[in-house]
Amino acid sequence: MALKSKFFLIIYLTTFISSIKVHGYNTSRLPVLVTKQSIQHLRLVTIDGKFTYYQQQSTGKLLLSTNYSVDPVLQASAGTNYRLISSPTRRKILISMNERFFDFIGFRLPKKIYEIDFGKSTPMQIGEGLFPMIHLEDHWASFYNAQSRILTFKGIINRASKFQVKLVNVVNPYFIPQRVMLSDNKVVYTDVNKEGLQGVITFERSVKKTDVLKKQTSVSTKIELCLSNGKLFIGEFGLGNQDLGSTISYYVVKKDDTLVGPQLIYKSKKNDIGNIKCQAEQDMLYFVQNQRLDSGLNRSEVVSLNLAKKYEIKTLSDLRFASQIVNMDGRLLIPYLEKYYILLGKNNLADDSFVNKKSIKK
Amino acid sequence: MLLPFWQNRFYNILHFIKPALLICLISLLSEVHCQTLKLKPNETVLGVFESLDNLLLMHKSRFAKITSLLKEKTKDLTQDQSIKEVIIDPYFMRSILLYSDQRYLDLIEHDECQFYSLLDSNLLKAAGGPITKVIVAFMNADSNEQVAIVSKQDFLKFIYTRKCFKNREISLLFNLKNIKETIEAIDFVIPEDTLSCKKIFNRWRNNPYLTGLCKIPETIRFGKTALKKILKLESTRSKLYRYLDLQVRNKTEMEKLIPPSVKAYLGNLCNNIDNEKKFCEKYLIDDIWKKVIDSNYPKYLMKFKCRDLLKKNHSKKLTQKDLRRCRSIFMNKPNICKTIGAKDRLALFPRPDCNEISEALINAQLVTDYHDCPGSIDNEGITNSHRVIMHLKPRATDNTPKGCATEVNFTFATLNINFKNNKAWPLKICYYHQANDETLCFPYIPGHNPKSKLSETWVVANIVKKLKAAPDSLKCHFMRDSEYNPQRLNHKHGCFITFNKFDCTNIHCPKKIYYNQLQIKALKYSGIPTSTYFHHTIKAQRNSTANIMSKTYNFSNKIVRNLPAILRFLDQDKKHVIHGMGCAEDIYPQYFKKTLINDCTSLPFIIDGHMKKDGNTYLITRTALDDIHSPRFIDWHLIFAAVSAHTVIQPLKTWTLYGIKK
Repeated sequence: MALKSKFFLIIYLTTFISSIKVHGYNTSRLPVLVTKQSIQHLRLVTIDGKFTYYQQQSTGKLLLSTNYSVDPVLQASAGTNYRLISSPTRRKILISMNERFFDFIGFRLPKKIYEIDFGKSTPMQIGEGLFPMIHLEDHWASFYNAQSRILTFKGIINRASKFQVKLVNVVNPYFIPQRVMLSDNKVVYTDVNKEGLQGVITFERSVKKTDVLKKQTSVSTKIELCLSNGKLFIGEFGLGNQDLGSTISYYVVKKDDTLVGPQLIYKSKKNDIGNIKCQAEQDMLYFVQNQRLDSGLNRSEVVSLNLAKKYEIKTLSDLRFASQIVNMDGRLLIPYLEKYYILLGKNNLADDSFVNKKSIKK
Repeated sequence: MLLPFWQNRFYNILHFIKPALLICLISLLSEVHCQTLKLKPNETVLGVFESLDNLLLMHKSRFAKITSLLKEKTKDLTQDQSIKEVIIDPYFMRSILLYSDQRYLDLIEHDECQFYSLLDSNLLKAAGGPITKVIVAFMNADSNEQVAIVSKQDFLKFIYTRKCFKNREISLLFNLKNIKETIEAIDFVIPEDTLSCKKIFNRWRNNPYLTGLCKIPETIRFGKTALKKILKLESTRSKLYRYLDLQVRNKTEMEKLIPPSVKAYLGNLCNNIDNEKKFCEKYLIDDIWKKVIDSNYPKYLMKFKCRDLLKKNHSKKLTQKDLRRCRSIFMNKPNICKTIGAKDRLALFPRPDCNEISEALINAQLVTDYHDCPGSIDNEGITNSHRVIMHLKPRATDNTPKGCATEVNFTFATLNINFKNNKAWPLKICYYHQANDETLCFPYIPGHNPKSKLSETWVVANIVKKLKAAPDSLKCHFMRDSEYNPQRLNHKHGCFITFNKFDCTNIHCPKKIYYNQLQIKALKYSGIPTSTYFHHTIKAQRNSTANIMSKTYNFSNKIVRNLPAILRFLDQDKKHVIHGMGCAEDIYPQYFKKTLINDCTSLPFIIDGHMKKDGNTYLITRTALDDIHSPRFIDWHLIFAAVSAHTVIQPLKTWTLYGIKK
């Protein structure tokens, strides 16, 4: 081949390879989640791969597949979208059903919320709201109504229990409060005051008393909460392009629900994305760190913080634009460009063996 | 002798070794040189070659000793008539020179009165911090030189009776009683270009009021520092507490008296009084606000933000002075853009700061001569479609916080009704007609629009006329429940539809209807808008909002799949914009968390510009959750990830990113 053609071929190949990288089709050393069926339909697959909850958009059904049998869980109009939330206790699952997923694009539209026994297919509606969460070893569920700004806590084992907390927030209509339950009597949640400053509030149900645990000094800082193994982790992360910094600290939760602390365990000058996950593994925290280079080139990766090893930070991903972590029944995944990369857990969703009764933890 | 081949090889190698050897030699020498200059531990050198840190430490400790010795030698200069001349003790003067800000010391030059003025305005410091007492030297009655410690007030009082008489007048002008009037009389000119900035800067440097003016930001700064210190004190009875409390009170008083724009101006002036370039930088950088004031860019890019900032009524026009005032505040207090107008027009919070907005608007192409309110619509598809339509066919709108939602709903409703897609707008008001024994329903658009017979006020008025035999001239008024007061004369008669400002969107808006002070409960509202923005099935394609808009406004949706295509499309024509849909959790991962697999909240957005910075390509984006006048820079990779994730959840796997091409 003539020298000129070789030269242009090299240029073309180099451009092609670098353009693949530019468009984000990175190759990663993390394993990619492999599933038996198309991943877009899946909603919850248990850690042992024995129970699979998936939806059928064409029929609007939510189905449970286990031991080669398929049971319907919920049925609504075509196009309905389901969100399933579980906890490490594996006793209950919450289901949020959005029947208007395609024909009403409304961030704050309340959705019907159901609870269901883990591995079962008989749901019971518990209310309407957004972003449901499970608390206190699956005894309680909470959900938020963005219009009325009411946070509802409802018992799902003792169904008569219920209480509500009204948020102050009037400046951020898309604010979703973080919340944890320390006990049946005490909850900790985030709110926004009239000046737009986020804060951590404690609420004692028996005396209907609220207290401010922490308050931000800048409107451009968000707060995240995560409760695990007797510790309440509070992440404070700067928002926007101006670096305000990030910190993670924790309070020890005593037997009488008092909080002792804070103990600072992480600090950074950059605005980390956050999205803390603390329940996947003992003594380990996972979050998304801003790893922008000194040259200014953007980069964010998932890191772990080891509480047992002097708060050692370790970068776990190599995707350059990792931004979320998902905990699917103990399996930690990074969703990125139509794939799910496994951080923690086995890649065994293609396993076809039968389930035994010991798989369901009581 | 080496063979020519080996000679050649030798010189080739030498050619590479020489510079390497040279570099090694230089670093070795400098290492040796540094070693000779490095002090050994515990080794000290007095005098000129001592480090500044050590000099300051030694001075501070000696100063503390001297002041404690002189505490007993306080003097009231005004009482002793024998004292003719008093000077600042040289040691104290050295302390002032060491501890005061160089930028203020530069002002002294050869002007003794300027020195006293700086001292009076608390702009000088000594080893003990801000100066409240002065160490002076004077001749006593026996012509012996004595040293004493006096209060700063007494010292200046003594000086001003003998010289620098103007200083006393200036000092009076800038005390807390008179400062407000003094400030109002001064013109704080914003520079327009480099030449005028130089003139303005030099004028300030020679202005006799300068020290009094710089007292303002320093008082506020002292107060902020004092507030932090006071919170750590245990005792509220100590002298220190009283001193700090006074600083805090002074700061609070000062902040009440001085307007924010003046504070910001003086902050910049006094911080850069020795640096003309830095002072001018703030006013001469390429900002959108200046370009709008100079009529190089359309006014709408600034007027809505400015109106919100100045809290000016919508019926009153903004003047050039207003715009310049806004520019001054935007430049000096960029964080203000994060919060202004947030309570009246709910949108994603916090908004970007003024600098980011300015940079974005310089490169933006979207026509935005209106001000909508996403948080009051609660349907991101409707908000986005209104923005696209207003870009293609701008029209006059009611931009008040009360009327902004009505305009957006009106755009969407008329788009679908004209296209005969009534399913998209099923909103109805129904009532039971007793005579006919049937429920009658009428379509309506929420709010008040005098141009439309579908307006809620018009529809409700018609129903009330039938229900209550009201006169034909009856008109219903649409207002917030806080504004409705049946005790008022003009609220006693007529029809009023009231709603709670914080509890009213397309999803949920409980309303109360009053006629002649009686609440009418017979009317029922039903229906919420139903439409897909981009089609998700073949069946939905015809009536998708994107398709209806393209047919009505005669444009094509040109798919853009990668960054070069986006950049090319935007650069082709100043009117080109791109609309798309992605997962909110991928566009804004700091704001929204994914908690499970396939988690995706659909979010429409508009891209109308791009910028490269530090090797990153940013797209100027306004999602349907954002305030229309607060565009954000979003890294292209996040947009790509968002659209990719959204494609996965679509039944047809459609790539939802389209350029709007006429």
